[in-house]
Amino acid sequence: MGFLEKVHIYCFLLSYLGSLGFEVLLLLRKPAPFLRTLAIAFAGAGFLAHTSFLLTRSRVEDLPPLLTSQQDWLLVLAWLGGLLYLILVVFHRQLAHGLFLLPAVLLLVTAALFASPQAAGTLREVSLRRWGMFHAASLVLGIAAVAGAALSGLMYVLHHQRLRNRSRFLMRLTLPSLENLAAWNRWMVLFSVPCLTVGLLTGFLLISMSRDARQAGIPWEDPTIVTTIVVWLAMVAVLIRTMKAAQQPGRSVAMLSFLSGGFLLLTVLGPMLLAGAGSLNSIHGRPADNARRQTPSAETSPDPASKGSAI
Amino acid sequence: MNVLVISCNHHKAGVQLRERLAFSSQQQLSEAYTQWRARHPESEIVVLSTCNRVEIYAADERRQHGVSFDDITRFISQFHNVPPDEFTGAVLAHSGADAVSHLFQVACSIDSMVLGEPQIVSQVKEAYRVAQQNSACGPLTNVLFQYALKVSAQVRTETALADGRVSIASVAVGDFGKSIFSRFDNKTVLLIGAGEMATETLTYLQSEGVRKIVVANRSRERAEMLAQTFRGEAADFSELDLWLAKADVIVSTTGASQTLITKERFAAARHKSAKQPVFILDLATPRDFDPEIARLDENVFLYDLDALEETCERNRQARRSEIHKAQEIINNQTRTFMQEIYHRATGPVINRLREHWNDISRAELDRLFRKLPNLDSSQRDAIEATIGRIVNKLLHPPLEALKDEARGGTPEGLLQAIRRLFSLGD
Repeated sequence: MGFLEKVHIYCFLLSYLGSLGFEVLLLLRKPAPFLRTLAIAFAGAGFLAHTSFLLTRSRVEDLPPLLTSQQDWLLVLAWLGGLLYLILVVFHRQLAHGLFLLPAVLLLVTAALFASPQAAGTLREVSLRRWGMFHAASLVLGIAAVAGAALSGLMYVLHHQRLRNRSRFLMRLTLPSLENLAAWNRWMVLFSVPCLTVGLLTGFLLISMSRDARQAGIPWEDPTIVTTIVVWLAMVAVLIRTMKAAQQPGRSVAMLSFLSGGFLLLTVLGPMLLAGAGSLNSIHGRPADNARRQTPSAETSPDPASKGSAI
Repeated sequence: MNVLVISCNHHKAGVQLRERLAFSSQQQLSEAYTQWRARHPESEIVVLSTCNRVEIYAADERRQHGVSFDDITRFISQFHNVPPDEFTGAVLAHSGADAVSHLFQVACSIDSMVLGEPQIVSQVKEAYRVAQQNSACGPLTNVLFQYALKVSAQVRTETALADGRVSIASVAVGDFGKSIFSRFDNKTVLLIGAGEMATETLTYLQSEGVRKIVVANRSRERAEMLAQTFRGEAADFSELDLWLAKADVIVSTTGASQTLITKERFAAARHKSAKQPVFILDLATPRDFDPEIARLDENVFLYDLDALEETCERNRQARRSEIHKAQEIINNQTRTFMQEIYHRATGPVINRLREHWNDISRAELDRLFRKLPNLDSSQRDAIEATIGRIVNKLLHPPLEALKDEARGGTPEGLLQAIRRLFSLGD
């Protein structure tokens, strides 16, 4: 299995792209079961490579994948998307989940290419790892739920359009029922708020526990912190709107969660990419170092100079 | 060896004639099989009787004096007490490869009234099962029907002939209803009127798990009757607005000459509801619901007959575009099947020829070994092997000629010639 350790991000990026290509072909052509099988095979191969990449990175950096770097953080989010796609496509082969999930996965993997692959120094302090893991996991799950709410909102809006206007093209799009989409949307919003809340609180806790950060105080100007707070506030607003809505919220709430979720995800990804490119200074990662971004195998033990220099 | 079919189906015969020729109960079918066996004990028969077709498939392995179209026609006429001239003009008769191809078309539902409908496969299966149960099948019909079911499965797997729904009720529930709701067991269905299409739609809804059905009709008696059929409850027509607010699914099919539910009336009812999604099927002509109701709010999904028919037609067209692919599969499989059958027909002659020549060679070898008693076993084996090779080489040309001929049909002429040339008898 040594070859799996030499996996490059492009390997699974292209696999997911191939899978999306087959999903698009399925939409444009007459139903052909072999196309769905090919889509699953490509996504499965990509997912295997993706998993191997994260595990290798984690082993090389001697940190859990979530704590390794912003790049891996994005890749874990994409990994969750890939996993969800495979689960859904196995149980509901006829539905076009891939047309929504795979672009999100591709977006995250592409964003990861530009994000910083260097670990935040603070989390190398062993005493903080547990809290760091908790913080990162809560935020990843929260952001994944926001993405889920945005995607289910988009699916709801398109499906609603399909049913109301009977658009010939949209009629080919086989989606879950509106009732299911509304329920998923509601649960995603409900799930995202506590996760983001816990993520934010543990983030502040981590700063207060870290020796270096404690001296500097909470960096309110940090773009990742700012956007996460904005996401949290927006999702609380969406949650209140969802709870106030009727039994099945309908198109307007779905549209709201799609727009807010989609926009907010971009505002989270944006600062991460800018921080990765060195345009913004963030405690969540240092500018990407091209030499270290290539493959996990190319990344040897962490640079001692980076330890503690940026939290 | 031959296969015949006489088919009285929806293409040529009206429903009245089909009803007269139908074998409508198991008892009637059993009786028919008993009578047939008594008359034609050496032939095989399978009766396929559905609401759209009455077909009799007969097969006979005898070369001469086998079962004929006249035998089948006479049997139908006498069994149903219908003079032949009242139905012979409205039935189709096929034999050989055409009969086989016809059965394959039927099993693949290319010949069905609703192209690609799935019920016909189980009907063909059931017809074959009943024929077997009544000991009416034989080697030919067994192979034929098993092959037909295999071809049907192949067509369904390799083409989109059965994809998409094509009846109003199935499209309404399957394509639209199930796109709105994930489950129906917690939904309230309101039926306004008591038209035939509503009954069909309710059957589909009930198969999806609907439990609460409310029937509102101007005639309370009719409403109660229908409610009883679907284990629902009847409501007074005066309570209609109340149920309009409560229902999740509304199926309307009254014979009203004017719009029954105006936009204002529905808006008033909707005002009292939680504005949950409501799926309205207006199956009446003229329409019972004002089309403007669809614009009342985003959770109103209103479909009339035109909207549903449009989807049906689109699905039908998609299915029609697959006929060519399905027919190609059927043609190929018919050819393969007929070749297998023709090879079966040549089998007995080939076996007899081989046995005949082996007997001769065995007899000559015995005579030789008696004359040359000093031969050791290895010499004997060598001589036997040589003779065996000579026999096989001599058999090769006639057998190859038979195989070639069998590709185009039962090679009766060649079989006859071989029988005479090598004194094989009948």
